[in-house]
Amino acid sequence: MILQESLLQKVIDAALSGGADFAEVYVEDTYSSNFRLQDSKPSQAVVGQLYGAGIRLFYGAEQIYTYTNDLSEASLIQVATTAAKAMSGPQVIKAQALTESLYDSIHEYGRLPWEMDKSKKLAFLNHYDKAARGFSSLVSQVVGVLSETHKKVQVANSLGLNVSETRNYMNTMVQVIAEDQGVREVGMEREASLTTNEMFETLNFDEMGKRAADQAVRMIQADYAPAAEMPVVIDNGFGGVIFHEACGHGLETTSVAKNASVFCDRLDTKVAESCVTAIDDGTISNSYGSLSMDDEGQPTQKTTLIENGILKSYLVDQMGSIKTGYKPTGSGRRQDYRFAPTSRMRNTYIDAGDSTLEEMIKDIDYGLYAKKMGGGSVTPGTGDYNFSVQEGYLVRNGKIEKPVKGASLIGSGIDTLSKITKVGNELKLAPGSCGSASGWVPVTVGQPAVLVSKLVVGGRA
Amino acid sequence: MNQEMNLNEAVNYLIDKAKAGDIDLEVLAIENKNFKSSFQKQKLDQFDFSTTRKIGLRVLKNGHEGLAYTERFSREILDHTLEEAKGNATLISSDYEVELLGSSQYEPMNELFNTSLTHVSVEEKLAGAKAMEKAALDKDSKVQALPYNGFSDFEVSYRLCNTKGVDATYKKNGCAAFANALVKDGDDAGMGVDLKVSRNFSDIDFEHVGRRAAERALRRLGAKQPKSGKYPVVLENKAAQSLIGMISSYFSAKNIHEHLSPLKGKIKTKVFSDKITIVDDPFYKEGWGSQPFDAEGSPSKLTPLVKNGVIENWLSNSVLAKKMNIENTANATRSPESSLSIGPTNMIIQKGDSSMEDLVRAHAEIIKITNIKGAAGFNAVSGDFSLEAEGEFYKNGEYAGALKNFVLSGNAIEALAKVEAVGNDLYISPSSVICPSLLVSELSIAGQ
Repeated sequence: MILQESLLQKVIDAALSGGADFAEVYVEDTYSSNFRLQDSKPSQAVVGQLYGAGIRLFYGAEQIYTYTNDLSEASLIQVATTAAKAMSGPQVIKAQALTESLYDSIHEYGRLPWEMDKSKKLAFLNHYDKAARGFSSLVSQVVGVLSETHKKVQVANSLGLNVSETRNYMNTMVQVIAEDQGVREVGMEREASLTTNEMFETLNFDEMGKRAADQAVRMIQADYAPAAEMPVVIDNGFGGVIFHEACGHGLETTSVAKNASVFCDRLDTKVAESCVTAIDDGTISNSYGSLSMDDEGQPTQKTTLIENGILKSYLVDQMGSIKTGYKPTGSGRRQDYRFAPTSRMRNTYIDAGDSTLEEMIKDIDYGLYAKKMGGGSVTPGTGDYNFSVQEGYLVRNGKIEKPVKGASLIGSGIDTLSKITKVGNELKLAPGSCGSASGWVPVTVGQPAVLVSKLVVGGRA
Repeated sequence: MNQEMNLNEAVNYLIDKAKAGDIDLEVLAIENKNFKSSFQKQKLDQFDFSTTRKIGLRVLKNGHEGLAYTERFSREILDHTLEEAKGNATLISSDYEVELLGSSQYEPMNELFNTSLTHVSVEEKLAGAKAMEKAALDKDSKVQALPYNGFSDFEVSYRLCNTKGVDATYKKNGCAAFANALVKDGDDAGMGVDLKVSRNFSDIDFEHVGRRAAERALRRLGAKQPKSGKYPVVLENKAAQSLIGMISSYFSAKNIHEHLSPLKGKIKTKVFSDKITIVDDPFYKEGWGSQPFDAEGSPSKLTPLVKNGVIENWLSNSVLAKKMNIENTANATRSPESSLSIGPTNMIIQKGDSSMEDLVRAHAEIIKITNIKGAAGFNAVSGDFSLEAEGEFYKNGEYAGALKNFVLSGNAIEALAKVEAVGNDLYISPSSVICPSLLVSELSIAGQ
């Protein structure tokens, strides 16, 4: 618990004083540490604390949100009263008495962030540097980052809910730049999870540094990807960003309620080939996109979005539920107290099918094998999305021919889904950060390798 | 829990404590006030307001900096935060030698804070946002919704204090109306954006912003995929700004020194087209990056970056100026959570005299890029880009249809080298880059 029940009760009462039909207080106390290595030397060490509260009121389907980081009683009540005066409802209702209940985390945690020596954390980053520079003399820069976040959240509302959860995230990344005769390319590896710093001791930093260096060196030797429509095999792991961008955002009620999604009114209809089953799951143990409860205090869930090609569910937060009538799916998330929650993805993946990667490549006369994906974005209203290929290869006559760089893939949500004609048998998830209306939240994306029969590959004409 | 201090008390407490303990400390204190409202189908969808404050500490030890920040201002937590920053400084062993500035003789810029904006009532703001949405919805029955839209305003106060004598403050405010309209016609859909930023509420013509967004969205209907190939391209100001925003960090002396900028070694060299002239102007009142002093307290100055294609200066702070033996251009940046770095204030690409009509008429066939989506397809290390884009086709200067579902590719530095003409239409947004439309002789289009 961050704030006392009696204080929260007073704040909720003040928030309801203008006739709102629902009031919620979200409180957060977050410790973060961030270390960076560059030029083979420790170059940045930052620690700090976020501390604040967001108060939210519903008047029917209309919402007021306010936040502050002065959590004194006087300040919170003043902020709640100001919010209450912003609108007026037909009658003032009385809040239910708060009942504190603890969310037992469904994830396993160990040491707290400050229980591991800072110099030990920095020492992990040396492994990136040594391994990457040892891999090739073309490596000109290595940047390593290691961070940890310890986040306590508490949610109380006028329905009597008073729950809290502690989440601990660890995150590390290496970026390697290689340079040869004026050509410069970059390779990157990242690991992140909902765990504590014991995880750093099990990670193979040397291997990650080497892999990032290998990518950068390979891309130096690569030609530009062609500009054409062609079949594309997208490999497992972070390749799942294609579903995240092409479909996931369009399934959030944030878009659906505004009629700004190509998936509106498509429940129980066919939106993909029958080989496609897609899931958004907040319950995967210690996975980066997991939670025990969401940021509205609801238990997290495993939600089947698409089953054998049929659209089964949207991702629904409380306001989304009021606006659309669909039941909440425990998907209310926010970056921190400065954001009102909206419906967001958690660990989102296309489930395993039965094809092998070799089979998919063998079937291609001329196409692209996207081994490693970069980031992407989508316009939910039109479903048009893009994402970049970090490590790609040209495929000719069923064989991988050569590495190519500078490829971006574009398409449109439902159209792309309908062109996934093969789904591989090796599911893998990979962590990422997802930015949207309620800020940046940790997620994972995932899939087995998939074959998309036709996509625009944006290279050089 | 012991008593929380207010922001100024907390800063004074920390500086006094550091002085007494012979610690070199700089404190950055920021207070933000924000308001945002938006309507969906004429019903209030978002009504957010807030006040937040944060303190960032930078402790210097043996020329290295350690950082810590907090949003809680009790004595116990401030003491702890100072200890953390001190401890962090001992972990750093980078090649940079960091010092605190001794004083700051800056000219105040009172024009960055418009008091009249603080007097605008909530009712007026809501009425504006509502009228903006209505104007867009009324424009045409094909307008489905404005999925992203709203009016927002901000007020931010900075105080920078150090144990060597700097105690500098300024505040600024501003407001913005933003509309993104979705239109549908059968299975066809399109989106269009308009934005107006100002420090004057009365400058915001809400209905105009709403209508413009709808008009731009309607122009997207019937868009076709272009044929792959090389085309002369007009980057409309907003799209040009997206692209130049991706390379603005290339002018940072820090990125030059750290081998992170492809412009390394190109000072006093002609890299871009002679049509390109760029300045960093912290005094440009309409820009949102204006400031009287930088994040170390150095008084702001105007810095020529590119003159007729030739690179004139790198942006620097005191650390890089010393390291590279160049002038300190007062472009230090820092947030409470991040270490000292370098960034532009208002990076202005000087406008030319071509109208949009002139630009699209310059070649027999031209693709005008109206929107660049996302930045995932930009490779910062090489400057290569492959970006999803939207546009329009022009034949002999005449509009010949909207284009979609294609990727624009090239290299950002080479693209600026191929600029044939510069528009007369500066685009001002909350970004630090202010830019007109640009005609580029050739870029690659991947479509059919």
